[in-house]
Amino acid sequence: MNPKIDQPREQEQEKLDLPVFDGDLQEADNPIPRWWLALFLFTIGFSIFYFVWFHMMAIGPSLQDELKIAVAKAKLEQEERDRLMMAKLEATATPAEIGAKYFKNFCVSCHGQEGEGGIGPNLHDNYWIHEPTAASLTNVVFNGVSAKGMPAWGPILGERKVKGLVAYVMTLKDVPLKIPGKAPEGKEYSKEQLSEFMSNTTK
Amino acid sequence: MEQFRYNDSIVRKFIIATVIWGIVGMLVGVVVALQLAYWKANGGIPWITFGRLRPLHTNAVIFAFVCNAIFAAVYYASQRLLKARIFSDTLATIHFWGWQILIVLAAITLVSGITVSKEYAELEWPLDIMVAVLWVIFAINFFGTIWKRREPHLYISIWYWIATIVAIALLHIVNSMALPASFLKSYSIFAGVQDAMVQWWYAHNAVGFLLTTPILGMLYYFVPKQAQRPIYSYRLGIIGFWALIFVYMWAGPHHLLYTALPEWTQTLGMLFSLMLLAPSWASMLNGLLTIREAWEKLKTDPILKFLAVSVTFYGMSTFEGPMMSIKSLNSITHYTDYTVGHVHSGALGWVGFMVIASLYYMVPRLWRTNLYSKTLAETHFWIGTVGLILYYIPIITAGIIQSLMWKAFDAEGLLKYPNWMETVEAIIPLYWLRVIGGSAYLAGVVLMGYNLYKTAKSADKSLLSDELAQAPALEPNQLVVKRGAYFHKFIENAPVLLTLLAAGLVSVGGAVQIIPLLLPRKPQPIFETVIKPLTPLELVGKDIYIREGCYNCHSQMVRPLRDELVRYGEYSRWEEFVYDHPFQWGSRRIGPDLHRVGGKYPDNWHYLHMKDPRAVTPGSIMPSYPWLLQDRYNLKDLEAKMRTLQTLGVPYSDEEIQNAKELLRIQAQDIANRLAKDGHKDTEDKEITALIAYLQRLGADIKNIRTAEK
Repeated sequence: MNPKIDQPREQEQEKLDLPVFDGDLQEADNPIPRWWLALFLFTIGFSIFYFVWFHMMAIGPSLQDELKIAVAKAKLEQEERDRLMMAKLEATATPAEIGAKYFKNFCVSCHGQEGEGGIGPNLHDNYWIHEPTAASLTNVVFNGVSAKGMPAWGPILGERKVKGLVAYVMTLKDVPLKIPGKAPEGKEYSKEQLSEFMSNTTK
Repeated sequence: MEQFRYNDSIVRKFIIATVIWGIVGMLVGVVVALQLAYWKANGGIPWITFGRLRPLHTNAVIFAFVCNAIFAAVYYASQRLLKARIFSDTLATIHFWGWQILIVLAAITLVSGITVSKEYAELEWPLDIMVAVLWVIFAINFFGTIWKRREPHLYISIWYWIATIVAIALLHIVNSMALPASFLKSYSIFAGVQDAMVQWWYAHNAVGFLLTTPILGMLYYFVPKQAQRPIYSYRLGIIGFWALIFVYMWAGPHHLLYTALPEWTQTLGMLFSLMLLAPSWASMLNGLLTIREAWEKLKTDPILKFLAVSVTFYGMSTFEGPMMSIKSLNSITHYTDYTVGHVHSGALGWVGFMVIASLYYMVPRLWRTNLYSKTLAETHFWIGTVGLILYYIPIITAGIIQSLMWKAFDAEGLLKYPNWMETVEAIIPLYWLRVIGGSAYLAGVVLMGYNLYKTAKSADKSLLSDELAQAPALEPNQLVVKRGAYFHKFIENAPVLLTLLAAGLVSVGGAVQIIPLLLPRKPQPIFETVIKPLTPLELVGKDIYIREGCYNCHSQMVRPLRDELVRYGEYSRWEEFVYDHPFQWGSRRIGPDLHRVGGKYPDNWHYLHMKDPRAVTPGSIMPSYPWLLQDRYNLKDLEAKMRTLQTLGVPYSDEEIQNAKELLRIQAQDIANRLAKDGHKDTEDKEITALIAYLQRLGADIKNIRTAEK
């Protein structure tokens, strides 16, 4: 890297007027590598430019501006996707199948592995706190019930998955529970009522 | 010619302490690494849960292992570079024993949960004072030795140690400023954004002035000694020194990018980090180009191998650091394990290997014998290097995986991994690899301990008296700089001037970044009415949160990034933290951010979660905290704590403080009643209730704005 490396050092030490420290410690007088100096000056120049650009002249966007742009872009993309998605929805997997997958990920911590209830109510019995229609249950899952601690899943999962979850929950009434479930909560409905309420699930 | 003896026995003592604390500190490191791979490794014992043990690990390796090593090297080399015995043997002895007692007291308090929760500065105020006193004793001894010196000229290592002593004193004193509420409880005088800025100015520069400058002083001593070649470039050394100590002190805010810190301060942190690259590389070049001249020795000399790898890792870390400070890259690496990988490449590679090399260098000389086994040292080098790589690669990979999963959106524009546990489970295998890498590194150090022990044991005791040296007394005319010499020689002959210049330069960065934050600042009107101090019960809860070290795994700072808005909610504003003494923003997300957790789950969820996180979050690696469900909270100092906070500017009225216990009882009863409905009896006076109150309050004030707007 530097041609001076193998040259004798005595004159250098003399020129620097440095003592020999602790018996044998010396310093050579090799020049500062050019690329090092260029790197240092570049970082200084870049920094001055950057600060002026973003703060003194405020031409570059602030972090908040960047966030606004990112959110707006995502929203546009979302709307476009929703249009395409809804059209395809019926053709793909049944909503209940989609729902079953997401239930295991998000709901079991409060409603139990089998939907037997825990922090939240038992989903197998004939008792329902809210009217067990697709519209009402979708509203519960989508917007949450803050008084009861039910989170709003809509913003996290989106409409399609929420509808899937509701469809899945509605299938639970026909699945016998093998483990003890949580005590009933809410109003009791008869089998017939439930079937009627839940018949038009996927609409 | 004057004859004198170097004080070698104090250096031997510091070396023994270095080896012992090194093994202890790294062992604790392996245990905490294991706890992340296998949470049950805490054995259900409160004192060794991750939140309490991780600060013990960091404090032990920094303040016990590295500091003792620095003291050993500084006392060893400065006596020889200055041709004078230590200024005071008595002060040196007090320094040694005082420091070891401090370490023991620190260990006891940290595992007991006595902490101020500021990273790498966790010690409570009585121990902070002890640190300050011992540091002053060290300073008196060091500057006294310079005063007594027989060598007119100060070698570059001495400059770095002067900067170290001045900067650490400044950092420690400012960051530890707190008002005691009782013997073992104090509150930072700074709140929220101010506290965050001061803390990261401290923490970044503790890395700068405990893990960099003193180690650079060691580089400039041990590298040319072992290579038997001169330092490559005197000029590069000079420019590197002044640029490094000045620029370093400005880079702290790179720990706070995208937070509620004013953006211009963040930008300064990023830009000065970039400008730090070249000054850091100046010493790397000087080290590597000096070693290159002794390249043929590298094959056979394990000490030179350690030095070469150490300096190489210094170059890598000081490149990685500036890159991680670029805002857009920082938004990826921050809060992830990548930072942990970066730190360890510096700590294990750069600092660890430099310390190891210095020990292998000093021990045979101090015990006047030969190293017991060069083969063992060679083996140590290879085990250590493999361990280092096996630590670094998996953990930076884990960091990148985490970040990509946190930020991933699916085809529907929703979070691809909304369930936090998926992002944890993905990296558990890498956590296991890290345990193996760390264990290998530790094994190497144990091997070194054995090798050095056998070396010392083989010493001829009759030769262990202090080494004799001779030098002419210092005459004033020797301090006169020759005409035509570099101007810088003038400074190098004048320690007082050099110290004052260094002190001036290291003060600027912090002053520019911190003082504006201390000035009164008007919050946006919508925040003014809704941001309130914690209630007495929530305050008790926050102190439990601090005691258990929750900040070690959970941040409380939602960044203005799209994925964080979707995952956590509204991003955090500075106004929300104006009463937060100390701030709890954290630096890492082993678990999710908690700033918007208030109101997200019912009280019962938190109760079950603390009892056993896996009951509500299958697969969680968080420790269980069953003692919170049984232990009663302590109200002895409640009024004193509130009064302390009132003094610091938290608007508690005198009436509130007088009625604190009654206010607390009402809120506790309310939570207990709700918990009782879910079958948890008698919780009113338990710690869990206070903690739930605090967690439910987090980030909730701002929600009142939204409600009011609707």
